[in-house]
Amino acid sequence: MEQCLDKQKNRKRLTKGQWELLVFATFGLILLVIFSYLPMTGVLLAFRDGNKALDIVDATFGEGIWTFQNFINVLSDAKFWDVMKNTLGLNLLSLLISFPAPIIFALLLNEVRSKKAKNAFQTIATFPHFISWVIFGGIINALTDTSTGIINPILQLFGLSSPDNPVDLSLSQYFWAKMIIVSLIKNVGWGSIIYSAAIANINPSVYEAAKIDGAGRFRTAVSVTLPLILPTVTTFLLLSIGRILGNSFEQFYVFQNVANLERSEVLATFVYSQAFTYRNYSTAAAISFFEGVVSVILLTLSNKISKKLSGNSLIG
Amino acid sequence: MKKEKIAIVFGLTALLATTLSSCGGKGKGKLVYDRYPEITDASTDSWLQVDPDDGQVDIKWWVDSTSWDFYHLQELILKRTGVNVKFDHATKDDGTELSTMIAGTMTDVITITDAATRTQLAKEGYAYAIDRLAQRYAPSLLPRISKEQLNFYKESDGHSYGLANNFYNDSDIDEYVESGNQILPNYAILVRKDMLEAYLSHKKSENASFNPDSEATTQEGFIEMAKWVKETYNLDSSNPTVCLTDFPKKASNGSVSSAISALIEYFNVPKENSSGDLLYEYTTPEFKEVIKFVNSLYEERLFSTGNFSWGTSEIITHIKNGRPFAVIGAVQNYSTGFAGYSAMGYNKETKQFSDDHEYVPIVITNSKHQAPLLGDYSGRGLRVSMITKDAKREDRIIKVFDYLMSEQGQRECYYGETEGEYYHFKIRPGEKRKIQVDGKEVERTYQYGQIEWTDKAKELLGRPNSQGWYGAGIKQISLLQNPMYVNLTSVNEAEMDTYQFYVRYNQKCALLPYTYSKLGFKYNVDSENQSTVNKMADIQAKMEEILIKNIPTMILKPSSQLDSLFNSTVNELKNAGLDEWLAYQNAGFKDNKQQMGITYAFPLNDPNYKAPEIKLKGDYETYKKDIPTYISISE
Repeated sequence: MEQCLDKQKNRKRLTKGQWELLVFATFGLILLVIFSYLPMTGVLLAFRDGNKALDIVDATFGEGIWTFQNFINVLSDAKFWDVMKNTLGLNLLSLLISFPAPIIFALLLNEVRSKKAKNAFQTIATFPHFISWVIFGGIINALTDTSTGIINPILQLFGLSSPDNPVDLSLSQYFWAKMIIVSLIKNVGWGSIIYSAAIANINPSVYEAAKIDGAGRFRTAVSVTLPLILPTVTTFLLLSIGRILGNSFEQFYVFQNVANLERSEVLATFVYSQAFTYRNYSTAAAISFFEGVVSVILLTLSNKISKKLSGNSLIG
Repeated sequence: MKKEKIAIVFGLTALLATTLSSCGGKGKGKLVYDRYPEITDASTDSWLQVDPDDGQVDIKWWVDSTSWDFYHLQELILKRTGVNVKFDHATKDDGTELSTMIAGTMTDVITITDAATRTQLAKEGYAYAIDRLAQRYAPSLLPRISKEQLNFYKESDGHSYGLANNFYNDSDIDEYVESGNQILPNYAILVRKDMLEAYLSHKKSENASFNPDSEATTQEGFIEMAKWVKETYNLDSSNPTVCLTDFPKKASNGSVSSAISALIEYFNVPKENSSGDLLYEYTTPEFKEVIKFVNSLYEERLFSTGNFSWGTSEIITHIKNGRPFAVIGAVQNYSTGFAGYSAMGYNKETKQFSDDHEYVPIVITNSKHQAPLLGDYSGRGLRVSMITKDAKREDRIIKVFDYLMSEQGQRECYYGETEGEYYHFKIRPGEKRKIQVDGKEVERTYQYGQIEWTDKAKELLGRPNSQGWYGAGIKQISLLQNPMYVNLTSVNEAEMDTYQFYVRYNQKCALLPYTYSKLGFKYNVDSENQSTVNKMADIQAKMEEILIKNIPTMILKPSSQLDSLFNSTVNELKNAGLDEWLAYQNAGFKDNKQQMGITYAFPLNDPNYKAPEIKLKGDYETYKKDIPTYISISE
């Protein structure tokens, strides 16, 4: 009996090593609380009259009514729906083009036989990811400038532009295409890393079997590689669907100007201007909350559909 | 184990509470106005009455502007007042940094532009009342703040919570005007002189009876001229034929673009109707004419779309290379470009400027061919400096304000620290002299005196590099600068003591016959109810967002769609709350006119208004000023 009690006591008491681990974990936990959970309290502002508040804490936790008025105001604002159109339109296009691009790139890279060439391609494609959007945007803007950029002279060679009537890629009619292209240039290499890793994990015997069965390189890629990396693809597809209302704020901010506002104002930039330019904190919180709710719903739904159709899912 | 668990939970809770509480500033507070000993002697400058035992005070002063250079101000203020001011300014011009600062801890002094924010800071106890602080700690400051400034910035409690720069006191304007001077217009349309002259010669050779003043001043005349220039000089997109200065993402002081504002004034778009009520100029048929004009410039490919994304530096680069034929807008903001380009065309031997390096102003009129009505610089302040609730020593800061507002402060900032070194008085403050105005002898009281630069200063000012004079501690611009001080004290009766300022003056002076005082439109609105102030600020922001988005669209779409786009913009503005906002503004506007004793603020409505003669090149001969001899012109 005594022995049994001692055992129980030993199990509950932390050893020195466990203590150290716990202390290390606590630092991580603290960071998580400060940067992930604490900011969530800001969501409360969506239910308060906190627009133009000077004291945010007081506006969030002080006296005052709880209200859904901010959501009513946002949903009845015509501008919000214009912004939604841009956000959804761009992200759906992105899902169609930018999402498969890294997969295709990884599949193509897998077919490169020379290891040196493979590394070179991957490094070149991944490099833009490490440049900030501010610098990358500056480079793109300089290249596409109608007066001094090199894109227009190139387009002129193909008869697509003229010195008198240059193509201004900063205008609204080109904006979505420009965003898709620049995000492809910046992210395709980086995005392909995870798929390349998934491809590298495929058992070589499967390829040998396919070869024996007479499959060519294209057939192997489509019928062997792709199905075997499908769980990874599904995971990222589901995450992308969950982010259908989200955009990279920096990307849009650097390319936005008055001539493309019609197409370039997305939820990320709209929330930013509402919160920090106009100090409409509650409006910004309401939009963010709405975005969060829609994302969760979309993620859950697509997860269920994916599970039903392919058996692959993120959770459950 | 239980103890360990408690410790962890306690630690995390404490951390949460600490972080949460640090998310906001100190919040609303009741400001105390008697923390420090009172000063009663109003006849001695307050900054000279600091207790010798009270040592140096360090404060921070943040300015919501991206382009403010402080140079030697910190040193000067420390020497005179014992307060070490660390200046800092915003890095972005979208107001985001101010929002972040208000939500956290504020610097001792902030300088901001937004009136609604200013009122809210005052009402919610985030800023000290300037007049109350002055009464207790700096009585000598009170007579230095003009009655009109105190009234203009008075909140509903009767106190004033900030001091403005660029505030034109009535007495200063009176002295300037009575001595035969006039304040320059804010906007201008400038064209390359050689191209203009070439076009006029070409037209004369085609038709000897060609009259530039009537034919080249119409919108069609201007477009024809620009087209001819583009073709003759082979200008393409890298040489924008017509450059419109700046299209920012956020409006400033009600202007969505300085180029559009310039055309609004050139085309006499009314801001007041014939009954004396305020109009929102962007909804008037005359404004549609402005858009139609720019739309035509685009259709003729005289205006490049790249212009929408050019910032100040890109525009300056184009100007420095003499690329655009015409520049429309707040041209003074690009005077480094104009001065640089003009200097390149200066012949030191003949002392002549080359026409192909000069930009000169021209007149364009509306479709009724009326003379333009250009608003002058005069205003009721641009940026307001406030002493915040987080100020450590409000008693000392108000003395800094007192010093900067004083004649001594204005003089030392601009003309340097020591009399005799960089400047000397030609006429002492308050002295009277007989002067000639329009052929008549009048007596002028020089309230600030008249000041001349010494040879040492002239040597610095004559150099093309501004670092020379700024480095020496002259021509410093404080945040409480009286804009008329320099004009009134200058021997040139205008700020033109360097080459850049000489160019700036002479580029605009020919437009003086078309210039009027805009003070009638500088009104204050009712700030009694903060929620109304906020609501109106929101409506205005929404309307400006609509204009910022729709104006480029209207410019770039085919002209056949202009009417419907314009009508839908007006509808959008109405849906955003235009009528309610206009009624609110109109009350302040009418109240201001009543105080000024005028019925109409817009000259066209005034039955006594006499339109000046329309001349393509304005009237340069009457107003031009010679370049100071000490200036050596080089690139």
